[in-house]
Amino acid sequence: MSRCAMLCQEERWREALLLLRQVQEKARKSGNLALRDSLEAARGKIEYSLRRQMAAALLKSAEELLRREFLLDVGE
Amino acid sequence: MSANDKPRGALDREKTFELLLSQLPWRSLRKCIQANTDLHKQCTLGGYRLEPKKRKRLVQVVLKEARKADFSDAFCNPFFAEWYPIPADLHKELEDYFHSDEYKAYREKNDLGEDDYVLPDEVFERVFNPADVEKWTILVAFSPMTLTETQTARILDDETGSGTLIEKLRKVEEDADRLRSENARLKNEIATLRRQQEQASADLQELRGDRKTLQAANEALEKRAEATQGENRRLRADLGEVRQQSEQRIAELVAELERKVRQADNDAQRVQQEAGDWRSRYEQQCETTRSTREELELTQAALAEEKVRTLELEKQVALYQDFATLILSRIDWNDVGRQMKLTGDLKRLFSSLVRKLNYEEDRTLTLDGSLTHFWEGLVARERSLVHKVAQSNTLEVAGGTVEEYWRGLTDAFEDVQIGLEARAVLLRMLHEIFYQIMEMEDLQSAKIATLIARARKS
Repeated sequence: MSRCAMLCQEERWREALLLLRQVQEKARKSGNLALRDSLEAARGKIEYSLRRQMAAALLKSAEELLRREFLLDVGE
Repeated sequence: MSANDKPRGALDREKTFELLLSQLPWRSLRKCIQANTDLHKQCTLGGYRLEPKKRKRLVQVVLKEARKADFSDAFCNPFFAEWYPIPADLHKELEDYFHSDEYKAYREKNDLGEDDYVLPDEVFERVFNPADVEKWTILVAFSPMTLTETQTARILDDETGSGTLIEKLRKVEEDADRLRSENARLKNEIATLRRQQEQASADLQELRGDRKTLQAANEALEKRAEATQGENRRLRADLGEVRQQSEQRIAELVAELERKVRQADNDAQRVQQEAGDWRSRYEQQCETTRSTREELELTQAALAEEKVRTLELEKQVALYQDFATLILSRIDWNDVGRQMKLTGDLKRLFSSLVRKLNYEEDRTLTLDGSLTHFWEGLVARERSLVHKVAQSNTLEVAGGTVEEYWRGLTDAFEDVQIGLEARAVLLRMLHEIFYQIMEMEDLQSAKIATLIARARKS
């Protein structure tokens, strides 16, 4: 969990989500349902942070694309 | 001639008085003794009582006292008065005669007093019976009756006595015969009794044998009793010892039980205290659980409402999609594509953009800044175009000619169309990014191409 927290602080959401899911799967297999449920809320938050990171990168790239191809003056 | 003057000298008054006493019934004898104070005192001297079994002694005492009184009439008359009615036949004949008119006439004829009792010879011969000589002897000795010498001699005469004796001998012979027969009977009885005695002896012998056997058994039983008593004493001693040990053990057990009871009381108090603590904790936990359950119910209700709302929204979306599909199906896309030449290119550009996009290249990017800046810039162009078109009536003549005005809006129309199309594409991409399900394999690399491609396929 400390490694997951460190990844979150570094905004490395994909790795943090990957690690969190692995820990959740291990807890499910060992029957520790309490741990699995407690990680569920954190998983949602991390996952949507990752989605926002993806969306931001996509928008930035789209803006640069429109500007580079002179399709749209979006630099102003 | 008085009674005392008659030939009483030949009469043994002591013997006659003894005969009189022997014929008195016990009740009469006791009455006479009780009537004479001195005699009664002598008879009861020494603590004796007037009882029938003491009759022999009493007769001796009476004779002794009579002898002292010389057998006087004063002493003897009360006894005679009691005796006189006893020979009933003689008494009746004499009394009948002395109270008869015949005797009254005789008494008057011979000038006799009323207290004079005289028997004429013919009367004497009639009433005298030699068999009653003893009774007549008593009358001669103690009665007030006056008898002639002849009559007295007749009574006391030796010849008369011999006749009396002969009469008595005859009676004795009769009695002897009776006694012989009685003796024979008694002999038979004796023989019977002897046989019974022999039988009894045999029985006695047998009983002696039984007695010996019983004595032996008794001795054996006594020995057993002694042994049992010894055993009993030993058992009593053991019982006392066991009882003492039991009492000691009971005392120890009682002390042990009391100690355990005290310990159990302490444990019970401690457990009750702990139970109270746990009960308070349980109640607190119940309260927490109840509040949590209420929150959960509220959350579930809210979730249900959200689901309902989501379903409604999905229905609306589906409706809108269907509506958009309906609208779009009526559009001649070939013509639109020709007019919007950039659409295909734009899609290809975006596709190439997505394929090579690495969203982790710049982690400083934030969605709030980039999306707002990009999106509001495009919306501002739309607003400006819409404003210019809407206010064209005024604006088209404000700065030049009408043709110039609308020619100047050509680029704005194209930019807005491109912006709208770009936003539509981006919006779909954003939708896919935020709503698709991320698998583990999607997270293996920092590329979103496969993510979007898989979403499109689905």
